[in-house]
Amino acid sequence: MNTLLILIIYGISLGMLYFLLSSGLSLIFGLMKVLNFAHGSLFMWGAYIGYTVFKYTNSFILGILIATIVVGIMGLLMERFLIKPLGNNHMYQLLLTFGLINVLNEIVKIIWGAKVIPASKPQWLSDSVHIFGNVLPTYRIFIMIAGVMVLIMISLILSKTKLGMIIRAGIERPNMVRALGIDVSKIFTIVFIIGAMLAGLGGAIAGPFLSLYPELGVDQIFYALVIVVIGGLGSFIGSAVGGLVVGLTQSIVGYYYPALSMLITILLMLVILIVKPEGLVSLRRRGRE
Amino acid sequence: MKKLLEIRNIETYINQFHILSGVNLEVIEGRATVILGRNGAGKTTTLNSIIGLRPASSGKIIFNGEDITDLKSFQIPNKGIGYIPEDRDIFTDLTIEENLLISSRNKKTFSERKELVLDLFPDLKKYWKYKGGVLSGGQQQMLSIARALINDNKLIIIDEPSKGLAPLIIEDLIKKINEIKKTNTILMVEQNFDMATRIGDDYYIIDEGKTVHQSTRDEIINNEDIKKKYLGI
Amino acid sequence: MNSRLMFLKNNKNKKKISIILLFFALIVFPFIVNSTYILSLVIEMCIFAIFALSYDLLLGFTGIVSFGHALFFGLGAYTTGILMKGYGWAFVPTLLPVILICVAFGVGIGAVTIRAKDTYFSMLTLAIGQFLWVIVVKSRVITGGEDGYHGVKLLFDNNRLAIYYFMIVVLLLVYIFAKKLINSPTGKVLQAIRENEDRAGMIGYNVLTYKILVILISGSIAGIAGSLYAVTAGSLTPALIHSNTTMHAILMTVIGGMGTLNGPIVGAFIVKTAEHVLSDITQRWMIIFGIIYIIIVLYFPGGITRLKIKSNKFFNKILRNKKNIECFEKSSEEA
Repeated sequence: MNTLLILIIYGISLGMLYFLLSSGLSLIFGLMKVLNFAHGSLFMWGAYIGYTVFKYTNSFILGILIATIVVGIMGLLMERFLIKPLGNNHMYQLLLTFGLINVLNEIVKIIWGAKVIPASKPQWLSDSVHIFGNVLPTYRIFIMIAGVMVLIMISLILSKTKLGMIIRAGIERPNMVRALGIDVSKIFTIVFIIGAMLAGLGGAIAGPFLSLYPELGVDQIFYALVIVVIGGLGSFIGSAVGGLVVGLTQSIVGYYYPALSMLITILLMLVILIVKPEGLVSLRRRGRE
Repeated sequence: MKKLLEIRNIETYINQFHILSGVNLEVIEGRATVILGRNGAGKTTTLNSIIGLRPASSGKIIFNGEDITDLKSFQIPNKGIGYIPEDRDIFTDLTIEENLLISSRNKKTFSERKELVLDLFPDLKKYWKYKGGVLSGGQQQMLSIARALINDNKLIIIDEPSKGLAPLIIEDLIKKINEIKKTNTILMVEQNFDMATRIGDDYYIIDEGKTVHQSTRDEIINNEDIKKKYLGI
Repeated sequence: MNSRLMFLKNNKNKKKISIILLFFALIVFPFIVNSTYILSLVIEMCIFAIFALSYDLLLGFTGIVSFGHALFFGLGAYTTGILMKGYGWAFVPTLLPVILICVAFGVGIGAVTIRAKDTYFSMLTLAIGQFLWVIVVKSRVITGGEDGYHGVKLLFDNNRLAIYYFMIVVLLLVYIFAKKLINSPTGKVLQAIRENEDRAGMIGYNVLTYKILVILISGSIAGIAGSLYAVTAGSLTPALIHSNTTMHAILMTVIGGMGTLNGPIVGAFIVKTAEHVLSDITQRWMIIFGIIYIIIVLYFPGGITRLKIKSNKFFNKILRNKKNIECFEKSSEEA
């Protein structure tokens, strides 16, 4: 019983990490119908930047902050110069973001080298606490708290602010939002920046947990895709649900049958695709375009 | 007799299809102008071209003395045009309040306009904090109209308000639109001939992407030839 | 009129002559360069040209974006490799299971994603591809894991000259097959789907069936390319399945020109040559291609081969006129 409890806690913290990884991807897709395959690479950049800032300033929080901002700026540049010029041509946007994976990975290799870097945790997050006779690293608790905070913050933005209102309306009927006199393309840019910032934040937090290597982005986009398919592509809450489902599955299955953990995750995705292709939390059906 | 909107020979393509090939019309301030025509004649596309969702490739659209042909789609409504689309297109994921808030271009006038709108459509008050998805078809139409009225627009564009509504509700809708007409200029597309003639002052018929006829109410009611030829009545 | 037709004839002759010259060049090429290294490079180019060609059928002709195409390549390579080394099969018989496996995967992935939007296909192919990669890495006993799978018996006892001619012929056959497919009624439907999927459906074509068909054809060709890789390289690594290999196919197709069939071949030759030249200079050669690729997607989506075609637009116009004349003559004859 105690084991299961600790596995669930582990699963939730992993799930929150997955949520941070995939929420930006889903948010961007929901509004813009652009699936950013380079999202995992942005996540990786967040991890590397966070690690570097922490290394030189000794402030972990500052690392997270700067990673979030810098990756946000990368998102801005990407949207302006690579995504927007292609307009509504989603096929080319897919091809472009996929190609960008390579460029972003290669730049990482140039700056930080191709070797694995074990990013360290700050002193104050290196301990562990004892719960029901089990050891729980504080860093896992930190991930959970960070994830929940982001979840609450973005949910509040989506539900309480005018920007959130426009995003929700734009997900449903972007053309009607335009016809109300709102500059949707500006909102696209803002949402892309927010999505990239979420990736940067997630990466900086995940860095010490996953350790850094240039293929991190490709490995992580795999999980992000699985999660958004399970949770519901384009739904912000869906990415939290999908993240938790995958996190819990991997934590529990991974404890008893480590070899099966990935297989079960993939099977889960396939089952969802067959039974409920729109995902666990589906967006409302879109109206006439 | 001020021309509020003037469309001069616009042509519009959707993908490679030549949908509009010469639409001309004028909307006089303070009057209700109705566009008639068969299914697929290009009525909705004409409205979409005005509002900028389907920009015209040639021709001119003059609104309130200003050329708006090449403006971006989001700039056009800000000139004072309210758009009520064919399928209402309310935001089902937003509450009634949010539907109106998002439509409002001026925070200061919101509460004042809100009172005005709710007086006209008291039903909306009942569902104020509910999501748009819960409304019935007729109520959704009310909300869609309310969205256009929440701003002090110079022109209200209505695309087929009667579509898919029960006769009793249409009856109510006609009253409401005539109410709105007292204070607004209206450009409306309507298939329901009876409804159209109970609202409109000026009439245009579009057929195969062109303006083919222009007349007043009396004329359109009495000219059987035109009706048979272009409207199939 | 007459002089114009004469000119045309000359142009057509030119084309014929240049094709014959190209063949002649390909035949004598090994004797001129006389370098095993360069022959091996050309052999590798041919294999990747076949792989990229199969990708073009999906991307260029049907408008389907797959990010896991390498999974077919890898499946082909490992199936052939394991059957030959582990079970003593000859090369050619392994092609049957290779095709069967690729068809099974193609139908499976197609059937699962096709109900959803196209984006799902891109996502799922990437996910399944990466998953397969992990499986190959982890199944050390069967595949050799990250160390690779070595010692597959080479084609023609590794006679590079024989392999070279063989590859040229296979590439030619695949090219002719693809060309026939594209010009067949099926191919026209595929292109109609690319132009406008909804309309193709409305006209009455079963879009799903056609899409699955092209996925499994393209997958099978990619699988065969993988098989050929196995019997020419002799060693297999999980990297063959990794998304980086898919990226190679995309680079070749897009740089060469999607939807041209010639493009992917040209692209394969460019990318492979550059890979060998640049990788001596810098390890980070991929970044150069990444940037070129992005520029092409943004500004020259037609690819390199179309740039050339553009300058030949004049001839094309005349050719089209000639076709029209022929059509006209035919129809008047029939009448």
